[in-house]
Amino acid sequence: MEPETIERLPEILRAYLSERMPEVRNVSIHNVSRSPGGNSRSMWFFDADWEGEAPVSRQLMFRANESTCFRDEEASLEKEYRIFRALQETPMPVPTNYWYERDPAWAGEDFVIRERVEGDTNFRDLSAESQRSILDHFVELLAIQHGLDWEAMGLGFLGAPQDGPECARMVIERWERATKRELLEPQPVMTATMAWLKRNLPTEVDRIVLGQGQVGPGQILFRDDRVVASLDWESGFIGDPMSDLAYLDFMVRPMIGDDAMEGLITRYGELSGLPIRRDNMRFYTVFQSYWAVSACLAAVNRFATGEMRKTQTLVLGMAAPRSFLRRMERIVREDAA
Amino acid sequence: MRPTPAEIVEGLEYNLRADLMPELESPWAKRIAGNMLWALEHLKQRLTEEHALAVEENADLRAVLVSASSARGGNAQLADALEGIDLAPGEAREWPAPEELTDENARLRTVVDAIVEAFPADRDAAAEELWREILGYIARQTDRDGTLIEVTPG
Repeated sequence: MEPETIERLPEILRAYLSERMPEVRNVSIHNVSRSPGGNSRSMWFFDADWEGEAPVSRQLMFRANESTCFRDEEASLEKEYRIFRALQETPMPVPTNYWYERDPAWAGEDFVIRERVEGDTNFRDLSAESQRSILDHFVELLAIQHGLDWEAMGLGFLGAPQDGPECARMVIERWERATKRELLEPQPVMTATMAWLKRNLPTEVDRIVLGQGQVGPGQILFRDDRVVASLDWESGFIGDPMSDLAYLDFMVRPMIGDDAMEGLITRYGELSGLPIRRDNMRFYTVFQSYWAVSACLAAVNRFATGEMRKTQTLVLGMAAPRSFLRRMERIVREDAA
Repeated sequence: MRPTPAEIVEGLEYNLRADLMPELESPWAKRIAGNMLWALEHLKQRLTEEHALAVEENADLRAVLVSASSARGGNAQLADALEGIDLAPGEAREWPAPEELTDENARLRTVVDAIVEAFPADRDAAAEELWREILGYIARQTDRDGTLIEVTPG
C-alpha cells in the first residue's frame, strides 16, 4: 500500500465501518498496528468502538490484497474470503470474515475486514507436551476438514478435479504455468523437478476433499493448548487429502520427531477413515516444495522488475524458499541414484 | 579502492544493528530492519563471491553440454530426444565482465533447461548417466546459490 494510504488508514477504517454498519453511531478506531506475522499479505490489527449494537467484533484485522508472493490467478484475497465465509458455517474454527471490499476508492486496492482472534502462533518454542496437545487437536480438525461437503459449501469454484489422477495433474499444470510466467532466468532445478512430478503423478485418491495447501503450525492460532483459529486459506484447493498431510509432515516432523509424527499420521487415518497413501505423500512433499519456490519466484519478479521493490519482498523471494528448494533437489537426485 | 565495497556494507550493517535497531519499537519495524540486515549481508556475499561463482557455474554448464553432445552422438535414444537442441558449449573469455557472465549463463542454462524438458522418461544406461550428470550440476548450482543466499547477518 502507498505510504499516504497507510497514514490515512485509521480514517479509512472509521469511514468504512460507519458505512457498513449504518445501525451504529460514532465509530472510532484505536490501536492500529501493522502485524509482523504473515509473509504473503499486508495486515493491520485495530480496535474499533461504536455506540449501538452490531454483530461484529470490536477486535479486527485489515488484510490488504497487496501480496509479496501470490498472484490473483493462483491465490486471490477474494478466493480466500469466499473459503472463509464457507468455513464459518462448519465446525472448523476460523475468524469471522465480515467484508470483502473491491472498490479501490477506499484504500487503493481490495481488502478484507476480519475478526481478530486472540491466540499465539509461536509453536516452535512450546513444550513438547503443549506441541503434542495442539497437534492432536489439529489432526482432529484436519480430519473434519477433509470430510466437509465442499460442493454443498459452494466451493466448486476452486476447480474440482473429475477423478483421482486429475487431482495432481491440475495442481502441477497450474503451478508450472505460474513458474514459467514468473521466472526471470532459467532454473533447471525447477524444470527437473517438474519432470519428476510428471513422472510420479499419483492416480489413487480415496476422497476428493477441501485442502488448505499450507497447514499446521504457522497457519493456526492456539490458546491453552487448543487450536482456536485456522488461518491463511489463500492456497485452498479441491484435491487429494494427502497433500495437506504431506505438508504437515515435512513442517512438523523435524520438530517433534519420527515416532510422534507417525502417531499423528495414524490418528489422522483413524479419524478421517482414509488410508494413508505414502506414495501420494511423497509426491506432494516434492510438489509442495515446488509450489513454495514457485510462489516465491513471484516475489523475486516483483522486486527485480520494480513492481514491489521492498526488502520484505526480496527476503521472501530469495531466502524463504531455500529449504524447499534443497528438499526437492535432494529427492529428485536420490530417485535417480 | 579501500575501503572495499564489502567493508562499506559492514559499516552499514553495524549502524543498523547498533544504532537504529535498538531504537525501534514496533514489531513490524524490527522485522523490516532484520530484512534489511539480511539484504546487506547478501549484498556483501554477492560483492565478494558472485563473480568467481559465476565463472565456475558457466564452466560447469559447458561441461554438461559437452557430455550431452557426446552422449547424443553415440546413443539413438538421446539423438531422437535432443534433436534440434544446439549443444555448442561456446568458449569462456579470459576476463569476462559481469554482464557477459550473466548473459552467457542465461544462454547455457536455457540449453540445459531444454535438455531436461526433452529428456526421455524411460532411459537406457547411457541416458541415465547423462541424467545423473545433469542432476549433479543442479546440486552444485543449488550449493552455489546457497553460498550467496543462505547467509546469517553477523
